[in-house]
Amino acid sequence: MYLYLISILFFLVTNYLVTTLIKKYTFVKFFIYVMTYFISINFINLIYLQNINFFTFQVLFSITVLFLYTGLYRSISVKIMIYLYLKKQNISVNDFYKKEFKDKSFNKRINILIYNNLIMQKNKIFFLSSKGKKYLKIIKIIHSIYGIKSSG
Amino acid sequence: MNFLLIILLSSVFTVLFITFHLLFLYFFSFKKTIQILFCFVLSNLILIYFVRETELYKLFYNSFIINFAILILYWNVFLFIERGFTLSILSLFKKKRKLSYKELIKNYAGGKGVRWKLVIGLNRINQLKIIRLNKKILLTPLGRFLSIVLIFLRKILVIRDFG
Repeated sequence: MYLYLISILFFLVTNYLVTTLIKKYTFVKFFIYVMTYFISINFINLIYLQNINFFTFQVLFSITVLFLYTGLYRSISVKIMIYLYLKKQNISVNDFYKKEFKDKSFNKRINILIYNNLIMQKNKIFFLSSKGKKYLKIIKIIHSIYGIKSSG
Repeated sequence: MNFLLIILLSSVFTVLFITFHLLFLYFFSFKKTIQILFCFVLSNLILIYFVRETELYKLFYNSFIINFAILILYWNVFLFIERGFTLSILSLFKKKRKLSYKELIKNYAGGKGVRWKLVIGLNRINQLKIIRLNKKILLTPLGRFLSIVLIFLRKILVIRDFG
């Protein structure tokens, strides 16, 4: 039991230290951290402990933490709830859409796509880069496998 | 050796689970959430049936927990493919090669628009009685409690910004 608790504490403390050391701690960096943690702790487990239950727990823990982080980091519903709680005032749907959603969610994602060289902008017109075209091909294949006509 | 056997069991589960899910998507049209859960149960039952008289049966408990983790991961990936904001913006370029900012907003989600994404999110949490939605958005007591929990979890995982 202590082993499980210690491993969770170790994960959280190391995560805290990593966030203070690395600038702009994004989801990708967190994902790399979780993978590194998972591989190292199971490597130790395999050599010294050889505990199957601990291995099973680590698989479930790592995936749950990733799932939780994705929701807390990206979910629009979470963003709305935290915004309303911290501002301690009501807001109209239109105001929230203009001030928070369009600017801080939609525009931010477009900027991320531009920053990652997936789309390009010229004279207020957006178009795909060659990297973006490759990604779009992959998206088209995945969408056709799952029968998704329009995502969103 | 047992580690490898558990991984083997869960690999068989993954193949069964994804195959069933794809088959269900093609042949049935009921709710996607139910489809995924049904495929999860079915794949596990098939696995139990085939390992019940072997030594592997003792390891099924561990394999089931890993299978559950696989379900969470698969569900997350499926939702990302279906509803992912950034992915959806990128897939707007399927029909048109060049788009203006206004067109990006208007054409989002097959012409539903970006505002629809917000409205559907609000309706979802309104149905769960987390907010009250009239002309203004209002947090209910349940919503306030959940917000505190979410802020606490964000602090634990040191999430400072929104993605």
